[in-house]
Amino acid sequence: MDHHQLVKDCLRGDGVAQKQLYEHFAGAMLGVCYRYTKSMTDAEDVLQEGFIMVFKNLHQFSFSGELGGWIRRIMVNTAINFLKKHSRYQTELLFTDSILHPVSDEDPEVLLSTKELAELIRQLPPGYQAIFNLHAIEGYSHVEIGKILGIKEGTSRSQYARARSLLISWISKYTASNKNESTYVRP
Amino acid sequence: MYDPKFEKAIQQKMEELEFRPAESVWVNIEKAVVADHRRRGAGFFWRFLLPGLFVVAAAGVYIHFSAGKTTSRIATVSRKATMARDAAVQPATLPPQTAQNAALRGARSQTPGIESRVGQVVPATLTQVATRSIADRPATMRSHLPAATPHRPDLAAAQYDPATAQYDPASGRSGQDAAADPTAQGHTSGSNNTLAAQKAPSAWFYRPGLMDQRLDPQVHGLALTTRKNSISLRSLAQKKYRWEAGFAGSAGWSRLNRLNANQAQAAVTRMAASLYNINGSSSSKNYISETRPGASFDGGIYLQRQLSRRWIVNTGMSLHYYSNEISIGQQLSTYVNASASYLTPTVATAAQTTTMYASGDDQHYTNRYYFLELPVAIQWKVSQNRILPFFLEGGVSLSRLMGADALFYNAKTGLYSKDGDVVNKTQLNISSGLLFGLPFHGVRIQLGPQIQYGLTPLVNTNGLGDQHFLYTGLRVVVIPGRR
Repeated sequence: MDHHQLVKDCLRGDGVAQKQLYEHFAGAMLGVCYRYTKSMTDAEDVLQEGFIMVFKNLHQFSFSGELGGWIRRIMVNTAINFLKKHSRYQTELLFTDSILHPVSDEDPEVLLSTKELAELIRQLPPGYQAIFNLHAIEGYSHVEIGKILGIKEGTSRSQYARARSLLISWISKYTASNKNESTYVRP
Repeated sequence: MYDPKFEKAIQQKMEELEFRPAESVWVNIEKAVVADHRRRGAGFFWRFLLPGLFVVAAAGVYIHFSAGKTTSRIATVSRKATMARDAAVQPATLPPQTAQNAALRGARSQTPGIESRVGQVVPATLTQVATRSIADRPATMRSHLPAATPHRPDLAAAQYDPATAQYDPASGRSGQDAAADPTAQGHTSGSNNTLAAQKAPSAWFYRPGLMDQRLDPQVHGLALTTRKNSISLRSLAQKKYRWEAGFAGSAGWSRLNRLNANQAQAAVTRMAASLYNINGSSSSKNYISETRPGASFDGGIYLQRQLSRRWIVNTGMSLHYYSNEISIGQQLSTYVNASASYLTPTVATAAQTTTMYASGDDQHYTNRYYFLELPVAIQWKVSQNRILPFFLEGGVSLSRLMGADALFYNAKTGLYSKDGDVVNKTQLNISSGLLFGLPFHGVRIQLGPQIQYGLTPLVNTNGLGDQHFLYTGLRVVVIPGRR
């Protein structure tokens, strides 16, 4: 697909091109949104809001990078804003150290399916979840995460370490339970 | 320290994560994007409207005042023409020095105030001068030549020999060139001068380029001035009208005629179990509302040009606000997509469906419309009374709906809704007015009643009759500068 032409058509207000662009990226972007939120409804809200932002700001796309990467960044920013705005996420985005999880340096093999792994990531507390997504998957540095979430770099580091340990422990548990042919056990 | 192998594995897995979003997501996105596109279009217009009006106004004022300067300049030149002519004539009776002084006086003693006053008085005289051919005056003019250059008779005599068509080398021109130029005959003197003047009646000093400037600067200057004068006088002979800029505005009432009540009632009956009954609105009052007049006003730039003594054409650009009041029932609960409710207010507004109201008279609603109008009209000056002239005006205007906050009746549902698609956004109007010219310090004001009717129906009402705007108001036109 020629993204260059597609963007130009979208900028001209071509509805068909806009839908084409949406259909091309919506699936993957919903996956991104899904990782940051706690429900599919919220993920769809973020997706919707994110795509509206995409179409509003499409003229700012400079064609210097990947269109997919640009849209993904918008989705991530929209998701973070969504978490900040909604009270059900805010309480746990305070990044207090009241709930401490043991830090582990283990590096287990991830044998889970994509959706199973995404489901486990979504079970992380929102603060952990956001930092884990931003650092482990999006590749943001802790300095950048600190700026995005309005926290100190050190806080981001420690939260990430704990999120990682928690996730590893859950993956281990989940893998073990699967080996025992048991059904999915909620962590 | 942990190994990033885990992160890489997670990244790879998450790259593959995809879901299929619900259909409603795209529907809401599309609505929001379309709404945003419309808002941007309107924003674009509003952003450029005021600067545009300012530029037009500035251009109008510039044209107005620069035209005034041109008139002044013409008056100056006309005055110089008179003076120069006098100076040229004087040598026959006055000593050369006096003639020179008179010419210099004519060239330098003008003050702007005097020029303007003279410019207003002189044209009648000058028109006569202009219409009188220069050739009619050769005897006078030519007779002054020797008198004007008595101190250099040798040069005048040395210019041209008609027998050989040779020029004296002192003049710097070849014989052939001179022969090719019939006006060269003017450079004669003495007996030759008289002969040449008889052959060619044109006045010699209207071709100053043929004379060496060294010969007589005074005569050359006079010739140049007189040449300019002949042009200016010609331009004065034809009265020219120019475009003038000003401001126009009006205020009054606008009304829309009511839709066909019987057809509307039938439409409502067809929708017997329509939504508003279910929602508990006043079902017994399921009539279509009357439309009551509302305030209306407009303002903008005004340009006019006089075509003749009695006819004036005018145009411009203005913003016209119309309003009217209707009675409606209760607001119906509208469908809002579940996911939209979680969004930020801006997005939620764009994602919501149209708000609807039942028929009834539970509340009043003011429909508001903002049109950009481009009028073209012609005025007939009925009375040329200087104190209180009055004008009859008739014209058409093309207007474009720039924004509206209005409820429209939908014959299919029997409900009122803000549905912009049913409006004819481009309107053609006719207008008429009677304007009285009011004297005022330094400005011309026209004031009087105006009526305007929209030829294009405002709403596509699906057979319920057409609705046309009718505007009546008081119009005022202000044109800076007096005629």
